[in-house]
Amino acid sequence: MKRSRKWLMCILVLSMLFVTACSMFTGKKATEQKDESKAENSIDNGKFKEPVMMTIAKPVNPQDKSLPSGDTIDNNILTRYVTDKTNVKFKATLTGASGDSYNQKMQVAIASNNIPDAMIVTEKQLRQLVEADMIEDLTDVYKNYAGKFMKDVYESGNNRALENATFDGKLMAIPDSVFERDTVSMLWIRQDWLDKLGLTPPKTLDDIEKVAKAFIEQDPDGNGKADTIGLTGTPYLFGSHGFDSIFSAVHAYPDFWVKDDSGKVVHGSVTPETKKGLEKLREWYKEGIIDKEFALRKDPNELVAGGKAGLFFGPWWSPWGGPIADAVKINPKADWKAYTAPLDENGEFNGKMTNISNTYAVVRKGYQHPEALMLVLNAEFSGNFSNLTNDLNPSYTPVRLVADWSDAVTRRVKQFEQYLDGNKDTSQMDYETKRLLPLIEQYAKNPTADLSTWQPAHSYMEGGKTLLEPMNEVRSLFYSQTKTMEAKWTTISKLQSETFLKIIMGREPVNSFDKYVKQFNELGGDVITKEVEEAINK
Amino acid sequence: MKKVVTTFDSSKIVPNQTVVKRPIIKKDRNTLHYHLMLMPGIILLFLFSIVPMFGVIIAFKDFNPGLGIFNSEWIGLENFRFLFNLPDFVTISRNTLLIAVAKIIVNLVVALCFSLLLNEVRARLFKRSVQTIIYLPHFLSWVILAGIVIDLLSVDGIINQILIFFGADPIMFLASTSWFPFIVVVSDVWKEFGFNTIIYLAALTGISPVLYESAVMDGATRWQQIRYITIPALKPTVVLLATLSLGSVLNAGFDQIFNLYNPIVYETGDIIDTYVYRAGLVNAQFELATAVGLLKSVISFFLIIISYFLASRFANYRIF
Amino acid sequence: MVDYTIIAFLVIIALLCIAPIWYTVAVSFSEKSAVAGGLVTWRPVQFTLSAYETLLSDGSFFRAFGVSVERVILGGGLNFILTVLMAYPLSRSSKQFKMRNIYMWFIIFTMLFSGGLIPLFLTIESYGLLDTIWALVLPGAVPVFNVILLLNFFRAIPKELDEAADMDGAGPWYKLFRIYLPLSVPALATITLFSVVGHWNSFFDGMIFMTQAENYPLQTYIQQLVVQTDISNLTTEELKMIAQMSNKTLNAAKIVISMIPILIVYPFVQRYFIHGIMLGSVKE
Repeated sequence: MKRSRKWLMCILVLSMLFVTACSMFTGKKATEQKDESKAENSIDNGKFKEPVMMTIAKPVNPQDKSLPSGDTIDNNILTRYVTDKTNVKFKATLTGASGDSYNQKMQVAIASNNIPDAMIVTEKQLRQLVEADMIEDLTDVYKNYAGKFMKDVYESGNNRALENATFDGKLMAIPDSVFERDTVSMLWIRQDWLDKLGLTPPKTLDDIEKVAKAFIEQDPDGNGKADTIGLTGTPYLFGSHGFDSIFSAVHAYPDFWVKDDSGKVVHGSVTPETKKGLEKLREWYKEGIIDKEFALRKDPNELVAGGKAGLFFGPWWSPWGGPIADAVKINPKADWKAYTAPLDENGEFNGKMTNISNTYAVVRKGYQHPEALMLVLNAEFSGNFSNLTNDLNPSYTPVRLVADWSDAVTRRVKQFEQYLDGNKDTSQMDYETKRLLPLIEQYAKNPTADLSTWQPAHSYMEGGKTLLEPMNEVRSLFYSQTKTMEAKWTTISKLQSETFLKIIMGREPVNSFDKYVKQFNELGGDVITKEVEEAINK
Repeated sequence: MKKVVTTFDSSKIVPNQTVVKRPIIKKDRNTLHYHLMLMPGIILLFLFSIVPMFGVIIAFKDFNPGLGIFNSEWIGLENFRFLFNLPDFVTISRNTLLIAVAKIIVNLVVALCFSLLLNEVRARLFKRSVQTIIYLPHFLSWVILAGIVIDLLSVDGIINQILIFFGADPIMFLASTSWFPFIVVVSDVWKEFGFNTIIYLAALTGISPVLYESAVMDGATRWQQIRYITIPALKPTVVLLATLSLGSVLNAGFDQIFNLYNPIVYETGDIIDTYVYRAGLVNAQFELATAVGLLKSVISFFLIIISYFLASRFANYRIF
Repeated sequence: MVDYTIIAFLVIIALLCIAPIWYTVAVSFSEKSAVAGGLVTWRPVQFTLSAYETLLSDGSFFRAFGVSVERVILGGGLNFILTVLMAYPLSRSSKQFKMRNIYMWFIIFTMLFSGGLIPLFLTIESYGLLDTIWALVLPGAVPVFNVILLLNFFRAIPKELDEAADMDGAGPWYKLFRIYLPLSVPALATITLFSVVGHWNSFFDGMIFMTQAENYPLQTYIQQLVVQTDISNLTTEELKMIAQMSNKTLNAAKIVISMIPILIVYPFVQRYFIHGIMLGSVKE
C-alpha cells in the first residue's frame, strides 16, 4: 500500500517534469512568431511612419572606451542617427566580447532558437539558419529597398556576394563584400638584413632559398650567434605563415576547388601540382630552409616579433594585425618590406583570392518588418553616417555589415599616391580613405614617428602597394560546404594535414601522396567533388 | 474457526509487534529526518540536472533548432552509427582511453607519494608553503602552461640542452608519436597532482597519533610506520578517488591536448574531444557532441558500478 | 639524512611548480610586444602595470568583483550546507536507512549524466533565472564529488561514538551537528576550499547565463578582456580593434588575479588540518 503510493508519487512527479520539459524544449518561438500582426506601416523616403522596434546582436570590444558616459550599445550617436533616418529603434539582446565568447553566445542563441530580429552571422551559421528555417527570405526586401551604394558595391564584385547568400533561388541574407586580395600571401622580408648581406630581393623559389640560407648562416642580426632561422611556417600549412604562395608558384592550390587541364572540377589538394609543391617543401625542410619546428609552433608570430626570422608569408595587413608591429616596437631598425614572390616559371605571381563575402545580415523568421533591415543598412551607408565614427568606434553601428569595394585597398593606395603626388582632390574618396589620409601624410613625412599611425599606414603603403603588382587572380570555384562535406570533411582534412606534414618533414616518402589521393576518394572525396561540380554548374 | 484464527493471529502478532515496533518507530523517525536532510539537495538536483537531462534525446535526433528539441526528427542511432563508422574512431578512442587511464593512475600515485613525503616533514611552515605551492599550477590555463611545455621541449629548450650536454641527439619531443602521450600525462600531473594531494592530506589528519606513538615504542622504523599504518589508513581514500576518477575515464583533457598537439602526432594524440571539436568547425554538430557526451556518461557509469561491486565484493569496502 | 633528502626533493618539486607561476607573473608585468616576441623568461621585460591597469581601469572590475564575492558567499554557503546535509544521511548504512542506495545512485547518476549546454540553457531560461545570481549558484548547488568525499570521512568516524550518542537518545540532527561536524573539520575545510575556488574561477556559466555585461562575475568579465581571437577570420576593420589587444599579458594578469583567493583561503584552511581531533573526542 505504502509502497504503491510512493511509486504513484514518483510517476506523478516524473510525468509533471516530462510535461514541463516538453513545453520547454518544443520550438515555442515558432508559435510566438506568427501572432505578431503584420501592421501596416508605410515607408516614406526610407523612413517608417510608426516607430519599429528591432532587437539586435552586438559583439563589443570590452577595451573600447569611446562610448561617452550615458550612451549605451543600443542608444548612441550611431543608433540615434539611424533611428532618425528610419524610425527603427534598437535593443541589443545578445552581446559578448568579439571573438570566442560572442561566437559561443551566438551558437547558444541559434541552438535554443533565441535569435534577435536582425544580426550578422558567419557563413556556417547562415547555412545552419537556412536549414533550420529560422530566417526570412529577403529577395523582395532587397529588390524593393536596396540603395544604390549597396548595389554598386556588389556590382564591383560581379554580384558574387549575392550569389553566396542565395539558397534555392532565394536571397536569404544581405552579404558583406570584402577586399578580394585581403588574404593574398606575400613574402615579407627584413630589408635591413638583405642590405646588410648585400642581397637582392628574391623573385623565384631559388632566390628565396638563397636568401633564407644567407639569413640562417650569415648572422644577419649580428649578435654573433647562429640563432636566426630561414622561413617560418605553421602547422596549418596555409594562411598567415603558410606556404600558399610556394604552392601557387608551381600552380598548386590546395584547399581550393579548381579545374584541371581537362576542365574537370577537382579539389586542389589532390592535384599532381600539389605533390610537386610538397616535394619542394620537403627539400627545403631537409636543408633547414624552413623552421625545423614549424609544425609545433602555436604562435609563429613570436619568431618575427622577436627578431629571429627575416622571412615569412603573410597578408598585406601584417604590420597592422600581424607580428610586424611588435617586431618594430622591439627593434625600431627592423625594416619589413613586402614582395609578390615567388613567381612561377612564366615569371608571374599567382594570388589566392578570398571569398568575396564572409559575413551576412539576416532577419529572424516572423519578424514584423524584414524591410527594416534594408532601410537600416541604407541609412548606414548614406550621407555623413561614417563621419560620426570619428567620435565613436564603428563597431557600435547597429547592424554592422562591411561593404567594401572588391578592390578597396588597392583603390585607396592609388588615391593616396595621387594625393601625395600633389593631386589634392578628395571628392572621389570614400570615408575610410579620408579617415586614413592624415595618417598617410604623416607616414610620408616621418614613417616611424608614431607606431599607431605607422601600423595602418605601412600596411597600406607597403603591403597594399605591393598588391598593385600584376598578379593572376586565382579563385576557388566553390567556397561553401556540401551535404557530404558536413559529414566527411573532418576525416578527410585530418588525413590531409597529417599526410602533408609528414611528407614535408620527411617522415613519409613523397609517394604516400598517391596513397592519400586514393584515400581521399574512398573517404567520400569523389562524392563531394561531384556535389561541388553540381553546385557550380547550377 | 474464524474466532480462533483471529485470536490466534492477534495473540501472535501483538507481542511481536510490541517487541519489534519500538526500534521500527525509532528507525522510521530517523528515516524521516534523513529524508528531510536530503530533500533540498534532491529537489535542486531534480530541477537542474534531471530536467535538462531530457536534452540527451538530441543524440537520437536530427536536431533542428527551428523545430526545437522535441519536434526535431527522430533518427534513432544514426548519430552513434556515424561515430562508430568514422575511419578514425578506433584510433581516437584508443588514444582517449590510454591517455585518460594513464593520467588517472599516475596522478593518484604521485599525489599519494607526495603526501606521504610531505607528511614526514616536521617543519610546519615549510610543509604548509609546499602544500600551497603545489596547488598553484592548477590555476594556470593550458594556453600558458602548454606554451611553457613547448618552450622547455623545443630543440634548443632546456631539456634538449641537457641531452646535448650528455652527448645525446636532441629530440623533437612534441613531433614524436611515442613521446607525445607521455608528455601529456607528465604535464597533466604537473598541473593537477596538488588537488589529490590536498584530499590525502585531509585524510592523513584522521590517523590517530597514538598509533604512531605505540609503533615507535615497539621499535618500528619510519618505513614500517608508513607501510603498516599510513598506507592502510589511506587505502579507502585511494580506492574512492580511483573510482570517482573513472567518471572521467573518457576525458583525456581537451584543453591540454588542443594546446599541445599538431597533425604529426594525430596518430597517438588525437582524442575524441579534439576530433569532435574539429568536426564542429566544419559544421555545428550538437547531435554528435551530445551523442559523444552520452556515450561517455554511459561507459563511465558502468565502470563505476562495476568497480563499486568489485570493491564491495573483494575488499569488502563500500565506496559510497 | 633521510629528512634532508626528502626536503631537498620536495624543494625541487616545489620549484617545478612555482616556475610556471613565476613566469606567468613576469609576463603579466611585461611590455606586451616583448611577450609577443618571446623575450620574457624569468623576469619582466620593460616592467609595466598596463595589463593590470586594463583589468582595473573602470568600475566594471569592482562591480564584477562584487558579483563574484556574492557568488562565492551564496554558492559556497549553499554548497556547504547541502553537502553536509546530504553526506550525513548517505553515510548511514542501508540497514539504518533503507532508501539510502536509491538516493546514492540517483546523485551518482546526476554527476555522470548531463543533457548538455543547450538544454541547461533552456531550463534556466524557463525558470526565469537568466541574469540572476541564482543561475550561477543553483545549477551547481549540490557538489556530488564533495558529498561523496565527506560521507566517506563521516564513515571513518568510529561507530562507538555514534552508538554512545544513540544511547543518550540523540537524534540525527544533534548527532550531525554536535558529533560529526566537529570531528570532520579537515574534510570540511577541504570541500570548502574546493567549492570556493570553483565558484571564484568559473567563467563559462557567467558568460552563457548572463545576457547583460553588468551581471558578469569577475572571471567572466576578465575572460571577455582576454578572449582569444582567430585572426584569420577577421575583416580589416576588426583588425584595428585586435591590434590594440595583447592576449598574453592580460591572460597572465588574469591568472594572477585568479590565484589571489587561493593564496588567502589556503593558509586559513591549513589551520584546520590538525592531526588527532578524533582522538580527543573519543577520550572525552
